[in-house]
Amino acid sequence: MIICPNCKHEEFDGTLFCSECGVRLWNEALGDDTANIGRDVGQTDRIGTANLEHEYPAPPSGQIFIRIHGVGTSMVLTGKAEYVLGRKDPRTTSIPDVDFGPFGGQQMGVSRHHARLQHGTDGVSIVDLSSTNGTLVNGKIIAPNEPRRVRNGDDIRLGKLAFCLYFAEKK
Amino acid sequence: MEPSPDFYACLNIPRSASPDDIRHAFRKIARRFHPDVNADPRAADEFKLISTAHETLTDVARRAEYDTRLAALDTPFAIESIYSRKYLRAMPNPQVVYCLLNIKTIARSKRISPPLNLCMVIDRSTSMQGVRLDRVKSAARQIIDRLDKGDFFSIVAFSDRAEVILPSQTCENKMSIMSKVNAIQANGGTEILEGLMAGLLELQQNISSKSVNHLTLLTDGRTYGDEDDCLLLGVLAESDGIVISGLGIGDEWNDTFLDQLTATTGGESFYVQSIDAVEDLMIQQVRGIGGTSAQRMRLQITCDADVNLRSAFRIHPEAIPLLVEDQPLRIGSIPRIGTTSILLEFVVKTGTDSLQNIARVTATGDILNIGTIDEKVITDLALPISSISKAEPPPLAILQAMDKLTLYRLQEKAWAALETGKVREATQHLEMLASRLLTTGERDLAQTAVEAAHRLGESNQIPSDAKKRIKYGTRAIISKI
Repeated sequence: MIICPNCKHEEFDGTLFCSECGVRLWNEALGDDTANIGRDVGQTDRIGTANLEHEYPAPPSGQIFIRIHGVGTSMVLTGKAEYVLGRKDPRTTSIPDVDFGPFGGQQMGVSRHHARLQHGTDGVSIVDLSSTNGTLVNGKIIAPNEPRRVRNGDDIRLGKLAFCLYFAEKK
Repeated sequence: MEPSPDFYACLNIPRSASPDDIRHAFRKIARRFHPDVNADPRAADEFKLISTAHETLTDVARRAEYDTRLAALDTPFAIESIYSRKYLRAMPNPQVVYCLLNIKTIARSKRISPPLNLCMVIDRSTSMQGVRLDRVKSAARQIIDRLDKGDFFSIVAFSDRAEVILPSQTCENKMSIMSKVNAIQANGGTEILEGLMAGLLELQQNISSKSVNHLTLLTDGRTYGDEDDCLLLGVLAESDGIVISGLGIGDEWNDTFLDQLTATTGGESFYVQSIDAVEDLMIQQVRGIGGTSAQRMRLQITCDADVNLRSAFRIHPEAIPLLVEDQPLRIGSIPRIGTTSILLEFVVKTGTDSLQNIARVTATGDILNIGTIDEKVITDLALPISSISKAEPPPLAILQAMDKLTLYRLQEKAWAALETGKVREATQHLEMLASRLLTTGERDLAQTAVEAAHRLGESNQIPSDAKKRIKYGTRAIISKI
């Protein structure tokens, strides 16, 4: 059995897309809908072959996984201490580290420079960069320009675009 | 006795097979389809057929005679099968495998367009009055203008009753025919059965296995009480080799019914959202009909023991859902150019052999330009079983097809939930559909889905035009691949 990472629906081994929520249960991207950094993470493959039936496993330390709700695509952030989350605008040259444009970022109210993730030695925090529609952590709006500590598995919303963050927490 | 199907294909052996090979192959396949071991209702027929093949090929005289006749024939069409995985895993639990069947007709003799035998059945109920009927008439005139000398054409207009505007005929005098089209006036209700019956009768006048026989039904309304009779007519039409397609104009017509009716013949229904699109759509359709190379195509899928066909969908040339309970699957016409693709989803419980047989596919169809009927091609679906757990990426063709099909399935789930009063579930499915549509780049349709979800949350219902837009919009995405 495969457990859908998005909605926990059970599917037979070999199923390619969740019949309940439509999320891709196969990790190979078609090449046209991956964000412009990182690569796809083999999360479903992991679950499918190793039969991990618990929550999403924490990634190796030093990495942050972003899993966008309802999309089934994950991105991995690695190698930097700070990442700007936003949306690439064809009119400007500045490009955020994570571009939510291909995931409907504009319609969902993601600003060009919406928020910043800080990956320090003591953990991960998020700062809203005075975005138009605000940043929510676990459903609560956070004050702009004030770092807010996040935990592994926290639900983040930039405007209406929602995703979960996964990373190895310090003991 | 018909030379088709190919007995060698039935037994899965080369034509040079020795008598021992034949006996061995027969025993192997008999074990798959013997009614004692295989509960599939079609297994008994398969068993009879392989028994006949075995008897014929093991009798020296009969085999020689059969070989002579077989040698004079070519393969009418080819079926290519692509699987979602290279191996099945040895495991006790059921697993899913998708199979994409690509059907291509093989060009024989010269490539000429087959003659057409067309009938347009036009709804002229009061609601069609004005620009709707004007545009439909304009489309009819343009179609008449494009018809060739050998083509038969007829027009039926219906409201409460049907009237044959143009009896089935060749279109030598195009001017006088067009003036008859111009005289069509709107008045009355919508009784589809009346129109359908008159249209099929006109097609029967000049029906032939060498021509493409096609009925196009245009309607903007609902028919009441005669749906079942219409479906019965559809089944009869299919057995005569007639494809029915439907064009629904505006938002009042019954898409579920039109889908069912066209599906009985392997045809498809279209949503004419804006009347401005009707001319292009109709002309394009006639052009497509002219490119037909085989018709009355049917697929019989006989599953092996412990295998279940869970779903089937025609992906190309137009996307239509196929009912697996209702075999053979009716595919309708096959275009000369391009491939006709069917996506099958099987649930398999693996056995102990190293090769897992999945199903036997028998495709039957009429080849137009040589006028042969009931040509058969047999293909066996099977995959090796492996204990290797490393999964390989599925072929792109399957991923793309499934990716798009998943969108269509999500909206189907939403309507199904809505029908049983599960508004919250329907809203969720529409929201999931919207976010998936966004990642596919279908922004307008995503917007429609988001709005529909909002409306549903607020008022527990959605406008019928939004439903049709989402349904036909997601369907169109599938055939775009």
